[in-house]
Amino acid sequence: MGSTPAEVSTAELQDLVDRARRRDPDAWETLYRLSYAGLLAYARRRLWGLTEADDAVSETFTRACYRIADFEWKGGGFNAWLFGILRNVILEAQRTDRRGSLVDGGAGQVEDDCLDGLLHDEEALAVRAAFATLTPDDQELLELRVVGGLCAEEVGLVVGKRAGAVRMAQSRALARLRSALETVSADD
Amino acid sequence: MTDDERLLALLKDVLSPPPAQPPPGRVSALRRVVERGDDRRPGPPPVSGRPGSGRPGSGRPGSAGTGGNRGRSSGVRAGWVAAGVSVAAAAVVIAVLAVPTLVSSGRSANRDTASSHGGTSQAVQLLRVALVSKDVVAVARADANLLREAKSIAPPQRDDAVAAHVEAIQFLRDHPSADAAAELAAPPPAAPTSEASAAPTTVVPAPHPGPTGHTPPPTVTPSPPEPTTVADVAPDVTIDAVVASLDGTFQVDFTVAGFTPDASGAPGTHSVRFSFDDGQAPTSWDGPSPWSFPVSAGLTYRQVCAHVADASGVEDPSTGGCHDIV
Repeated sequence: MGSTPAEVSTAELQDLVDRARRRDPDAWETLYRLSYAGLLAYARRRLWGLTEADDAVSETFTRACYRIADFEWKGGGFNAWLFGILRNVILEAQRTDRRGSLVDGGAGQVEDDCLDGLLHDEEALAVRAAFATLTPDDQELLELRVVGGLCAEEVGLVVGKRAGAVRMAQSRALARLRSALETVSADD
Repeated sequence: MTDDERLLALLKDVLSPPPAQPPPGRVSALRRVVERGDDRRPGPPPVSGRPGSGRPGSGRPGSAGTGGNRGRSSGVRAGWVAAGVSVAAAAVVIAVLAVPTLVSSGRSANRDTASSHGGTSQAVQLLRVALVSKDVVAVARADANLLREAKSIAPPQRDDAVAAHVEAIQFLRDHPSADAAAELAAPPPAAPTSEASAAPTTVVPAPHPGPTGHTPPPTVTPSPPEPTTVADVAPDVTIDAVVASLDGTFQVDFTVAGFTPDASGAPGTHSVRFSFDDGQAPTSWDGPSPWSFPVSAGLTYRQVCAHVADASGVEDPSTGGCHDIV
């Protein structure tokens, strides 16, 4: 299944969530498959290794399973709710494991096998280097947007900001990224 | 496409891994979590509040490893393993051993942290360490310790405890050792035998007539150091079954070589139940025959013999059933 929660209709997603509340394993599996790629991608950006990221996603769904009664359907928000849980899981993991700090922090960063094919791509290298200069808040916001695939409203739900504030912060983060890119390119 | 959109697209290309599908094992683990229902919920209580349901999540992700996490430092795996993989093991214990229930001993919020550390109980951690060390005696000792502390293990961690216990039983079955069996047969020395307790009596199912598949079968010759009123001859004892549950009790079926009962009952076989609940001498008979009865964890083997003798109607153990036993 290649779609994401954002790519299924609201009605379909609501039906899945309703079934999930009734502890329908098929619904949970579908939600898991729908959300997996985005959650894993975000977790991989925030945790040291692939296994830890996969564990974090699994833990997220374990918690989601037990907390589904607490989720309030407000015309959507399920994906953001999952990301909110994942964010907490990652923060807890980082607190207990110093290696769990952001992995894309520049020198000494872990080799990310998904980027192996891009290591010789100058533009990609420049983007990565520029991204590493951003503040943790900027990085997280952009990761939620582009890696997690969340819209501004959903990012706002995850980080506790209004959607407008998220858009403003995103705009400023992109401006800083662009500036950093120029600096990196000039250095090269 | 604006500059921002182009930059976001570029960022997505650079930062995002290729689409991935969850491993089948994790999918099936999630399904088990869903299917097992709410009553063993490891997460926070629902809005209405249910006492003793535990802290948010499955406990603070532990830095120490739990099942499947040995030697790792992530910690985020703990909850998944506890909630997913070990569910099957718990089901095996419940179904095969027919223990009454894992939650019959009650739940209280303060128990959630009573013996836990980092999302898993210390007793479980010790058992895990012992399993890794492959030290048979250490495993037997740690498993016995886990059973003693079972009631103080927070409900969210009981799956992990059951899984560890099942691993231990399997390990002990695969590595028979007289020393380990002695560990299992020896009651804990610190357990009181005479103090009254308000703890509820735990009802333990009758002994299983056949092999349980969870039984370390070694033959041992315990040699209790305590002076007793029975003949000081070491008996040949074969532990036939150790049926444990996390409600704080376990049951040891053992056979005493050469024993001829002088009362009705299964010749040569005694089903002895150690209860970690009451710490008292047995006050009532339980089971299908006089040879199946509850005894305190503090009783020595010879004291058990004395009860056997007493149950047989022979007042003087030295000339009664235990005399025959030893």
